Amino acid sequence: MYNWQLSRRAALKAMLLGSTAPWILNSRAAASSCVDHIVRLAAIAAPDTMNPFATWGSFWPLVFTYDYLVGVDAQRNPDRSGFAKEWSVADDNLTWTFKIWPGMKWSDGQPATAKDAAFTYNYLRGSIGKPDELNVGVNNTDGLENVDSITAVDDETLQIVTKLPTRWPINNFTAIVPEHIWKDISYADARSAFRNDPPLVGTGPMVVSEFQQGQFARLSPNPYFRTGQPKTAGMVFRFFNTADPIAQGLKSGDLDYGLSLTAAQWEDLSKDPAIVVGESRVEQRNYLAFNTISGEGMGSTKALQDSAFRDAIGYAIDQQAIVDRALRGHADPGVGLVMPTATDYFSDLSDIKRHFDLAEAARRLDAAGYLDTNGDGVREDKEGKRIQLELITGNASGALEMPISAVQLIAGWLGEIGIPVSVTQLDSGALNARMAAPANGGGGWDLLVSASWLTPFPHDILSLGSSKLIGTSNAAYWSNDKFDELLSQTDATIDLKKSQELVDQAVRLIYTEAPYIMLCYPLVLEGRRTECFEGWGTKDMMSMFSYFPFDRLRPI
Amino acid sequence: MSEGTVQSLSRIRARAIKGFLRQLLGHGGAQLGLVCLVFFVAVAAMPNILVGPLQTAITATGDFLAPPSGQHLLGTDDVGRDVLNLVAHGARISLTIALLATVISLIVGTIVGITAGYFGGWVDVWLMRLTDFFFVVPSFVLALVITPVVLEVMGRGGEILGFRPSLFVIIVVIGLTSWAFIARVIRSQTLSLKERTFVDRARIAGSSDTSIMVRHILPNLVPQIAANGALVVANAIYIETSLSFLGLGDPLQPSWGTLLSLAQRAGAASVGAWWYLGAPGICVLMVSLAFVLIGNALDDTFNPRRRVIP
Repeated sequence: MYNWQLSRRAALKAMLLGSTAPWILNSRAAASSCVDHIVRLAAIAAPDTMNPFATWGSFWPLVFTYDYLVGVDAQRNPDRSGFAKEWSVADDNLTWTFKIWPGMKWSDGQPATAKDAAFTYNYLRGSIGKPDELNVGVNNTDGLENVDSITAVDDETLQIVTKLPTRWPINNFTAIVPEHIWKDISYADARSAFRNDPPLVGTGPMVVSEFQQGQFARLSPNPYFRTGQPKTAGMVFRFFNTADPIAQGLKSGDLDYGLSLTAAQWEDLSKDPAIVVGESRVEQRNYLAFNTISGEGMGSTKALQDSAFRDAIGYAIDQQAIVDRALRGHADPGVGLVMPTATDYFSDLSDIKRHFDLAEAARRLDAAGYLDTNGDGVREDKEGKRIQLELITGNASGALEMPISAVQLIAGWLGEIGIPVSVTQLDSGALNARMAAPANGGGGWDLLVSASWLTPFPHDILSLGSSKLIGTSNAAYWSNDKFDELLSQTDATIDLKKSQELVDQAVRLIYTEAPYIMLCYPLVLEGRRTECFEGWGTKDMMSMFSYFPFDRLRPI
Repeated sequence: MSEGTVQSLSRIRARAIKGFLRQLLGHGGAQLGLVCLVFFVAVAAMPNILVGPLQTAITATGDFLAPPSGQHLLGTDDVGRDVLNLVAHGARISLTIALLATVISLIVGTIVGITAGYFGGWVDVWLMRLTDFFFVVPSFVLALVITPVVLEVMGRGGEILGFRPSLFVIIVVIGLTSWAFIARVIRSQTLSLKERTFVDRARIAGSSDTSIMVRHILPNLVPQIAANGALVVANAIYIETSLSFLGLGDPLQPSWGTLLSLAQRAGAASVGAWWYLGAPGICVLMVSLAFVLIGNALDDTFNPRRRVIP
């Protein structure tokens, strides 16, 4: 038995040595980014399929290949447009007209016209109400129920008529796919089995030519890109599940750009003269959610359904300490549902904001009837049962990782006000299963620390409280008729001023009801090497909403 | 029995123990292992006296990832906690998990081994096929699959025998996945023991099967159990570290594996924070090495075949 162990050790050593050999070769080859002009990037990501109808997790690398009709970036930056060159809405606020880029082509040389855009939307729309409704991926039917018609007037003009005034036509995040590839795919296949294997056909600057799940995606420049073929020779996007190889890759010159760095790595890299680091505000919200549902899937105590209990706990969470200690300042402290990037809607809620005060939290718990009657240091709920909460946490796929120290802080504060908390860490698959609607087997937890990263538009801002989205965006399973009413009014409002008022009302309502305690809005921490390429963004090196800057990046 | 025989019996026993200890401590490795082990057991027994109460993210005062200094002998972690404090408190959790898991695996392994060896026939066949199953499936992979399922079923609230359920689950899982090798060793030894004359004599005297196994065979198995037990502890520490490293541990109770996991998630390796990864890593290495050294020395001492060869 002892001999066997020794030989196993020898075999292990041989394997380790063997595995480093290609790594060493690889890193030497990678030092030639300046020679072969291929941009090397890395992020913590786990794309699973190249089919945008079947997944939310493949934002990278699909964003480099497919265009959105308009999307977030085109509205913020005039020089980052999508599939449509210009757009306008008629005075009735219902009829939207989009001018598609003239003479645009797919990466296989076929013309890309308004017909392809109309096909994509009508393909989704046709699935509504069918058993295979396309509602599981980033290309989904959400919002299409308010659309009356989508037609290609001619090759360069797309018209969308909505049933009520809504900004969905420019805010939606649907990847426009080529009709000549997708017209023969059934809904059942598009929803799951069809993997859309590379090489893909898209209108973006870089087209996925090879995809190895869990490893990398290779992208090649689109020769027919509308502003001319990109100057770089392609991209290699590597996927990791921890940040260490990304930081190491940047240091060694193995990578030209890295995303998802931890605060410690970011500070370390900022001292390196060959590396420029950056941080940019994004739409992510990190929250603490309470399981507010009663009946099937409810938490361990009825106290969670009591807004007074949740409100009191809000006083025991120090958002500033989470930002300072857990994220080392690379975040904005949490307030309400609106993230600071949504500048039109953000408010600091200073008049109703809870402040951190453990004594106040304890006083409010006492007042709400959650007392420690038997003197064991733990509070009991109104049925006399000891309150012991189970907190689940994990990294939502596609979101920035939340340091576990934030959870340690929360558990510590709640412990001090007599509410012991136990913590379970889950991977993203298991987390999704627990977060699903109780009807789909989710629930049973008490507290959840997770994150949401959607667009800065009102519909997505408020989706955390929408009773229609219980189990997906609405992680607290919270439902409130007044909130739903405000949400549907917001969806049917184009006027900014009115929309701001509605959002503000809804945000205040959900803040006082407290199904969520917002913890922070983290910043993206990124770094890039300077020697091989120029043309990166200044405020954000790489856009989190489009293929910028890979349409204009050029070798030095 | 007269008083004289009792006295001489105890004298014989004392002499035997003394001889055994002398022989055991004759191994340089065993001395090293014992010193190391005594040190860690002392740390685990009184972390509060040595380094103060466990620091949490709330009570932490240090700078972020500060290198070792006079104030923080082993530096600080990414929330400013003293790494020495965490490692000392982690010793208690890691050692408790490892020792209890070993006890479970020894009990299961011994029962299965003795039963299979003593009864033979179909009992032996079935028990050994069960053992083969646990042998063939790598215990770490099995633990990796079982742990989340059991955690899901049992939840984490409350306490079981004074432990958080998450720790308890890890103890049980490690215990139930690492007994196969013990069962094999015990069975082979039982096969030989049960043919000895003293077993026949006991049977003729009317002892039941259970009493023969417990009173006559088990005492003769103690050397094997002790020697292999020490090796199992080393393995249990490894499994606990790996499971916690993969995020299945309890982030509120820092075992060494959890510390390694936290260090990795904070990116300690790439920013050169060697103290954060190194401190728990070296502790794991030292304790498991100590147990292996002691186990080997015990094996050498007990094993008559090795004893003859100088």
